[in-house]
Amino acid sequence: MKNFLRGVAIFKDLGDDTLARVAAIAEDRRFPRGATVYRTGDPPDFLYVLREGAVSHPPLVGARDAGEGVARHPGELFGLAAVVETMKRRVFTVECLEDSRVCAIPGARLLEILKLEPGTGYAVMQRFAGLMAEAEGRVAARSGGLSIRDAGKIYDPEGIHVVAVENCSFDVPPGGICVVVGPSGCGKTTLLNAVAGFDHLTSGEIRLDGGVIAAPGKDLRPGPDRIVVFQHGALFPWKTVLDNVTYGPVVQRKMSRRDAEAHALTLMGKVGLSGIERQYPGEISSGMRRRVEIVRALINDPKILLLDEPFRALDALTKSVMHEYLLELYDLSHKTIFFITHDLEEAIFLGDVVVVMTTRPGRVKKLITVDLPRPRSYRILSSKRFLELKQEAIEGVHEEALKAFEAGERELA
Amino acid sequence: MSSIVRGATALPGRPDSPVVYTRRRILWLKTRKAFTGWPFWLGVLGVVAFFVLWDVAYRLGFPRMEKLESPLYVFRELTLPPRGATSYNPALESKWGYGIWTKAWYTDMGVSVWRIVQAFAWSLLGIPLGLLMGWKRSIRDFVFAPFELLRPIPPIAWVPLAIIMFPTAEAPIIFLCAIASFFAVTLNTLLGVESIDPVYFRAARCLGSSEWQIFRHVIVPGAMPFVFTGVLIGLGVAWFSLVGGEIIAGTWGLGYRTMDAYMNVSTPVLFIAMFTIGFIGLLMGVALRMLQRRVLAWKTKTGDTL
Repeated sequence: MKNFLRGVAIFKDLGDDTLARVAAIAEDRRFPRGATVYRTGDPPDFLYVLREGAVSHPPLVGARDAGEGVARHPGELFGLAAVVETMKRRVFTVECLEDSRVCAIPGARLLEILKLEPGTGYAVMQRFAGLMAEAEGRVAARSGGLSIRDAGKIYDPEGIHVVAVENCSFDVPPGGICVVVGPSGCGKTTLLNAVAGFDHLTSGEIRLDGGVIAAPGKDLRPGPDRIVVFQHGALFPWKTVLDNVTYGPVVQRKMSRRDAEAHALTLMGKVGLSGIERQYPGEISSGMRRRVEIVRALINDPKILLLDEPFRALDALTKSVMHEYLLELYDLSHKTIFFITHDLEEAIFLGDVVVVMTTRPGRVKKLITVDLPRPRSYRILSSKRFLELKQEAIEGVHEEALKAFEAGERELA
Repeated sequence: MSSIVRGATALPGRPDSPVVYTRRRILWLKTRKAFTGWPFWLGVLGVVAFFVLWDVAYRLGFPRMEKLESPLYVFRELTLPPRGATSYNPALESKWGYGIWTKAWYTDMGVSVWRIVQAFAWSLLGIPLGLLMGWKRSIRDFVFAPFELLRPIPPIAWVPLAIIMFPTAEAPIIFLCAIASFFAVTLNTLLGVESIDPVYFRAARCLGSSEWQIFRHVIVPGAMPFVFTGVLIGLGVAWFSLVGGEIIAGTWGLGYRTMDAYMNVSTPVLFIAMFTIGFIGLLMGVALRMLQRRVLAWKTKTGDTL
């Protein structure tokens, strides 16, 4: 153990005695593939050093960007929250991607030992703090990364096999806008329901920041880290706009009602929704209702915002205003957005990544990276690049639309 | 802000008018509108027309109507003092002595209303039951079958059982009223929970609600419109069974009085008792609707009709 620790970059200057003490409290642990080392929200107790295998944690000290964002180099540190006293909860969920062997060091005791060695001990502690700060910066920008792997959903009502989604794989980068386009019945909503935790997958898995949120047999657990804005709106009609917006923080006991109200009023003021807070949702326009609903989601500080054709029922004019409004909110918060639509123009205008899906069974037909600069305005709709992208997308979608049409589907993309 | 009421701009008045719409002023405007608008006067006209038709039919001696009384005579009976109470002028005395001058009329009303109030209070237990049934599938499955078994039994069929179970004079009647009303309240409440758009449950879960919070913030308010419908129906059904119960087991009460009047062939008293039931029922309905308008402000304000 001591020899291994000696090889870890961060400990290499420590004195022999100190390292022996550290080695004495360190535990050697093995985790099988798929095991969870710790979850978001756990109290931080151990600092971990990877010995073998790979874990779903962004690398901090090893090779920075292997492209996958996972730690797989021996000597890689994770679980730094255990040695930074201000962190009360784990931010990440870490799972083993392979059979892994880790060295677990109790954080509090490690700090005590390091304090006994004034020079190098303190240097190590400072290095921890530095790493943590650096990681936090990157983690903040990295929060909300969604990864869908081989997702599949088969509906089996009374023995009739309906494959809604099949072998669906794509990633949504943290802080990106991913728009899924496809004709009705292509499984867009199935996918969204799986992400939101409303419905099971029958194969594959979906991860959010490394933690599995949907997989066959996994408990359905919708939560405020991924909030859905629904197609026809779901503001509670029996609560005033203000009570709707404060609902999340109040029921989760994250804020007192008074704080939540103050916060909501500031937020609503910032986005031009002042003056309607005492009205009921039925008293305001549908465009406003949609905006209030987005604010109701954002006040919870979710990792990802799931929008299920939220502007479908709006007229064209309101819709275009809502697009700019959504982008404005996005520029403020940089939340990851998972957006579903059947409107191509909307998809390209909003998205960083456009996923074109096939008709039943829903598969990914085409992934289009939209390289239009942000912030975007409506002028972009007539730009050359926009039209090129649209052409590219149309070719993919049109084929599907024809298929859907032939299959007797009512709506086209 | 406190002196100005939200939604005030929606009320009549030029947008630049300096009038401040205080709560009191709005109440006055609303009251004035309620009593000056067409709906109110059409209602009054309808009632008047009904009595006029009745009177004409009686005077012309229509078949089946000739055995009744003129509404004017019934009104006279209701409003004049009984023999010997004030004067000896027989033109200013009521023949049957049952009306606003007699204690019996008030006692009957009091007894009946008190029975209704008690029965109604018991039947409100149907609200939590209905909500629980809608909340948890297992509770619903457990309760629904026996419920459906008992529900079709008409209140009258419960009479013997009620008398066996409650050997006092009062309790069987209350039981009869309550049981009929209870079914209406429970089933409507259940229907109310089932009518809630599932999207609200999903939204509530997304926002981090516990099961209890979903019950409190989604199920209860969401079912409220149907709860009120159930309560209004329940109230009607309670009156319905009250008369049945009082005819069989009562010694006082408006239901008992109708039967008693029939036995004594005192048709005006029969009418007075009947219309008193109608009138009290109407008042209770109006009171409930006012409460409903207040509780369901979110629905009335958005122009939905109740």
